[in-house]
Amino acid sequence: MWKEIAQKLGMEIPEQQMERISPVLDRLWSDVRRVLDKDLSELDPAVNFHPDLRGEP
Amino acid sequence: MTIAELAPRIQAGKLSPVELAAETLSQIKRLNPALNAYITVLEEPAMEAARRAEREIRTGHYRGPLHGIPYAAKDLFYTRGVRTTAGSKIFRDFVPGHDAAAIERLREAGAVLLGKAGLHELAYGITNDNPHFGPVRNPWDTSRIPGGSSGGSTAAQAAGMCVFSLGSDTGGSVRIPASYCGVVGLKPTFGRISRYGVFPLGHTLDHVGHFGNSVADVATILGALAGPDPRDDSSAAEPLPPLELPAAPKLKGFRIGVPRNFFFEGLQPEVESAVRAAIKTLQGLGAEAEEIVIPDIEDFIVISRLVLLAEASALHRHRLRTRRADIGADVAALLDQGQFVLATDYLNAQRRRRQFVASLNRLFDKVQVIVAPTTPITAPKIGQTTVELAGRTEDTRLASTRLVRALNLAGVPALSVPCGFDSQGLPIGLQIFGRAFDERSVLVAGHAFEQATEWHRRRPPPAAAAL
Repeated sequence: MWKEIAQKLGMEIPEQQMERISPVLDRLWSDVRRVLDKDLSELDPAVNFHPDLRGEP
Repeated sequence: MTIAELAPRIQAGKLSPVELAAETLSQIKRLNPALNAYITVLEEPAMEAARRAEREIRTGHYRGPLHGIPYAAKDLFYTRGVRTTAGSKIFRDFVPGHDAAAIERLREAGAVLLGKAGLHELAYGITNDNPHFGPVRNPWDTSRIPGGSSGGSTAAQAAGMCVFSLGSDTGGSVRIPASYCGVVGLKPTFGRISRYGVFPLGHTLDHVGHFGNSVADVATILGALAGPDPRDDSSAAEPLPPLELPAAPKLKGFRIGVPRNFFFEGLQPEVESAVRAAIKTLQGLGAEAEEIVIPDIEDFIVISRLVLLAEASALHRHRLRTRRADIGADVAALLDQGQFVLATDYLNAQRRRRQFVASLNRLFDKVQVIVAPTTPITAPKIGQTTVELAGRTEDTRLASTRLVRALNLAGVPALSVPCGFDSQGLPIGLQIFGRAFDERSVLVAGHAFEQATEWHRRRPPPAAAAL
């Protein structure tokens, strides 16, 4: 899948590199889906980051 | 030697900044061929700065505790007229036309810049096994990495090739090498020190940090470096808390949180026992330890990784396309991975980031600081790609960053203090982190621990450093 995406989007990633990173991307994708596929609509978009959450209740 | 020991002697005219600089440069000449901690040594400019400091002090113009103190800067801080490589072949001959804000501030404080310290290529990694400038070696065992990406700074620091040093921390790059090299490292709050003139990596994660031979020293250095800067859009105007640390610290009434989840899982056993012993030491000083749970911490490790992959790849996208052959294999692999991050995932990761900050803030209503190991292991061998921990094989980079990277997401101040050694004589780091802009609590706890122990005074045997 990653190889096809890379080709379609013209990422110009060498074949050997794709073989190296594909398993890493598989694991990352699975982790990311687990932590981000949630209803986040109640959370404000973070345009700027401030570590003290200034201005928030 | 610490700044606290050197500065009064310099101020009183009992120690010459010129002699101190010359002695430290001799140490560099002796040890740098073996350790490769410096990419560029500024011998003559350093001696000139030391002579200037000596003249000023002799004529009654003492600037403060950093006046005449020699230091190293990670080679991603811009230095006017001096090449600044970022550890990259692409920037091998880059000579900035201006100084980084941190360099400006240290010049104003009268500190003496000795040279530019080695780093992981583009600050994107933890080994400092740099394909363009050679590996930086750990002074405690030269077959091992110093950690990174600020490993040149900590190797120089541990081997006495500077009195203090500058680094940067995007996913642990101050705290990991501090832990592996047995020095004190502070990543202050996001926005506390200007990033102007520092090669970026992850715009919402990058912090300037620094190293010293004691917690009191890193407090002194923070005092010189901190402050708002309109040239850095992350720069914060929050006033610096008082940084004077008590001579005989007591922690009566001081509340420390000890994570029950995540931070003590999958550790090298000697790391766990050293950190547990450190907690007992803090309790012996009067601190009240409370077990806490940091909610969803595993999620925030993933989120911090995702944010960094996206930000670094966005930053270096053009270079990756046009100069791929000039980028090392491990860094190119990370930059390639980041191209696959969806914009929606990046933005939702930033949304969830606020949950993490809010949950930490709730914990900091109950405890002043949280203590944990800095790294789950001691320094791995150069070239070692995996480690065995609790019967599991783990990628060395992911293991080294596991306990530190989420704190870049939160932006909170975090300190690594030496707290012991393993059976192979390698240092172990204790991590202490606190609420945003409350560097004082972090420093007070670290300083109290140091006053009760001797770990921070140990230095690598000269034979090991010079091998």
